[in-house]
Amino acid sequence: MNEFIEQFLIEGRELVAQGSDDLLALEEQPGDKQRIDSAFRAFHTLKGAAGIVDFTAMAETLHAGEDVLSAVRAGTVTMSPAVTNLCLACLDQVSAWLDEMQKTGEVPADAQTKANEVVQRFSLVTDTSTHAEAEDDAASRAPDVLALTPPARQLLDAQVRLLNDNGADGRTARWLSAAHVAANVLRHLGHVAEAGNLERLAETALSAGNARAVADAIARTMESVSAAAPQGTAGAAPLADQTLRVDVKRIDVLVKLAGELTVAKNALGHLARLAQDETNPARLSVALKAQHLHLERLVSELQRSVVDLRVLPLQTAFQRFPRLVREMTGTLGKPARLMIEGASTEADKSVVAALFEPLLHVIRNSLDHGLEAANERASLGKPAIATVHLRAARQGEHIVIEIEDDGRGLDLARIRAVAVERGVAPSAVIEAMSEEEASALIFAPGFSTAAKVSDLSGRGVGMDVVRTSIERFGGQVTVSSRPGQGTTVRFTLPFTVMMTRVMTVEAAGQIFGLPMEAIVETVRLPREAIKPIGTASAFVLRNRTVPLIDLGQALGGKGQTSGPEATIVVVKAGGHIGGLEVDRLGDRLDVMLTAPDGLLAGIPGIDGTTLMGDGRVLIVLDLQAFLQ
Amino acid sequence: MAEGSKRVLIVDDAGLVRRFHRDALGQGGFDVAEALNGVEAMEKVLAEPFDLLVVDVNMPQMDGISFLKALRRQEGPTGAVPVLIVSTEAGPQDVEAARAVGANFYLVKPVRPEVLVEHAALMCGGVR
Amino acid sequence: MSFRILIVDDSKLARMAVAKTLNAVHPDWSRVEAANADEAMAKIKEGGVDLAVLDFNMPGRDGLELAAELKALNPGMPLAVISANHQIEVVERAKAVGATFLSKPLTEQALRDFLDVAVKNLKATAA
Repeated sequence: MNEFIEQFLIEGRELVAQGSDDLLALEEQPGDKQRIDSAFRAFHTLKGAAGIVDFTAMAETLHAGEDVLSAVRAGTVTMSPAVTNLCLACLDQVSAWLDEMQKTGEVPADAQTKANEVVQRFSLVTDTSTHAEAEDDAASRAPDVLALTPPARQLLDAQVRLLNDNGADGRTARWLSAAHVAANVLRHLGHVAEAGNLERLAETALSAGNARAVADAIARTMESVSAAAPQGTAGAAPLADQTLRVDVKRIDVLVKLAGELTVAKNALGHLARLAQDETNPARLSVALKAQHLHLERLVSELQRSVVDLRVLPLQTAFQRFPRLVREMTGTLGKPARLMIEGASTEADKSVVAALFEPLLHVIRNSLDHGLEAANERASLGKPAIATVHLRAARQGEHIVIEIEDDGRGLDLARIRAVAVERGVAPSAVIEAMSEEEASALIFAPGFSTAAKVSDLSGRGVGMDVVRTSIERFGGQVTVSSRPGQGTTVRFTLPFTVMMTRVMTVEAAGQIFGLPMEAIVETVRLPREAIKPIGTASAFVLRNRTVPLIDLGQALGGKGQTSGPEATIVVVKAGGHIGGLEVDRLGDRLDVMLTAPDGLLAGIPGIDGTTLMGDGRVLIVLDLQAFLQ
Repeated sequence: MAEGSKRVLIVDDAGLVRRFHRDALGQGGFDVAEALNGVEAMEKVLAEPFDLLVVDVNMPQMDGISFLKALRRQEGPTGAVPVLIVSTEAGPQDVEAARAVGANFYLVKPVRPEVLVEHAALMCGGVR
Repeated sequence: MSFRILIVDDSKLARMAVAKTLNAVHPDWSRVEAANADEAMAKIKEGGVDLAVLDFNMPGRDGLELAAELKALNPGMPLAVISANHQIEVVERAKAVGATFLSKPLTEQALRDFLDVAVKNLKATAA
């Protein structure tokens, strides 16, 4: 991919985000001049960018949007929902093109047809009144025009009538004023060239007494700038960011660190030379220790800076939701608004990237099942427009994200009933569950309380998928609700996923890492407490039967049935609980996990690897895979 | 007063209407002047250029139709200035009478501010 | 004779495009870049800039406002204002502040024409 396309994709995405943001804000505050200016500038700059990479179709598409926004800016077109929809659809198309270019590295070949469609929809938006002449033959119209607003059309019609009036009294002035007004109308809508042509024509034709020529020219221009096309909606496709934008300040820190590391390296060289001559090992040792401390500081600073590089504001994941919520509430017929707080909260890039899907699912659920229908809300005396809050905040080493709605709350009786019906757990257990435990049943595999499969949520996945994906990067999901007042789903996520806290264990003569967040507790049990169940075995922990896995055996080594006691790590992952029998418990470490590669790549059950102090590779196990 | 704005003359004998139109157009970014009737309007039009006249029909001394007739008899840019009639009369014969004397457009009172601003902007080719 | 040119545009892509075109015309020239009017003024105050190409549409002060400021600081500095919209108003205002109007996307020919005149003027004032 050439550097221009690369930069184009980076700026393009930013501008699409900026434009969408402005358009949605304008929907709330249609008169916000700064937002209009900002939206206009986003379209304008995008258009310029498209021109630079020779993407003519995209430039034309954006030009249509820019024209309308320019008219909004001038006050001749109001920021109606139809205008907002079109501008958003325009950005959707641009976004789709950017995705395509991300894959191929080239300007899409079939873009012109799509561009024409968008442009034609634009020409309709500013002219929603019924005009017979606008119905015909939309496809043959020139794509690069701005439509006439109804007042503009009426004004032009009126000028044509004035020009067709041959009454002698005040004729020249009347005709001149008509030509002048017609040109002004065209100019005001951005048809500068047509306005100029008309004025030049009027100058010669009117002094020759030929008002007809001017009237005909106005009529022709009106025809050429009006068009009609069906209006559609465009969906949003998920996008994958390959590049990472980094704050210059963070790069500066790295550059500075690189400099300090070079100095430290040189100092070591100096010490090495000293060691040749130095007869006093104690003095050498002091110098080496000092240097070691210095290096240690630099390395931990470097580590932190590298993690910082991967930090992004949650805005990147949040920014598409106002849009999506708007579309979803439209589909459901449940008016709701989304209030976002804390979008500037930062999190690791991989967390931010992985958040979109689970958030989308929870928000969908809120809108679909959480919120009452509009008439039900009215009868309950609730505000007609429901509110869904999407909040993020940093709490120590965690990011907490909440999705709170003001809907009906969880129906616990129904949740219990469904859980029994689906065999999530024995009915006695479910009946005995506290409200909190019963609420958490919605995250059980395969659980879904949807009375009917709706358009939005009926995709065959339940909240268990949300939980799995959040837990995958070390997070937790909880839910709380108050009947009739609403439901809150809360994600608690680690700030960085790179640093993983693990506990090392020894099994089958090898050391493995277990993610700390999966470990419930460690127990020692007399071997008699372990009961065979079929070919497997289990033990009872606080009245709960827990399956036991012999880790050494499971990893293809020999088992450890010897010894009077079993050392067991109780772990919980993916909604399952289990015990892992190990030879020995080891240390707790913070490790920087890398994805398994080489021989280990693709082997199930491996979460990642990390290098230990002695140079050995520590394999960290994916417990979810073991427990399933 | 906004620098470089299009200049609009409001011709109406009703103070409340003038104020209403002045506020709307002023907030819309236009530079606004006022006249109380056709005679005063003609004096102003002959003295300085305007981009648009917003004219009432029923006025004492010289009504809108007579004023317009006189205006269109002027030579050069003065006679050809765009005119928007804003009147309480809504009959087709009223609209036709205004058109016959060279009114460029006709709106019936009361006019919503944004509608007035939109028409003024179109007829002036913008606000600036 | 080699000159130093300032390129001001809030889009890095646009600056890259101007730089590429400039490179094709005068590979020996040096250039400085700025993303907005404030940055541009800071670069100008550092000195050494002979001429500038300014984007019209920028957040904060636009290219024409910046052009007026630059002219006030250094009336002899050749300036071009570029815009993707060929609006009469922008063209006229550019002319009024003594800047050349150039259309986006910038063609090599348009830039060359501007630079030829600019060089002539710069040499005349230097002589």
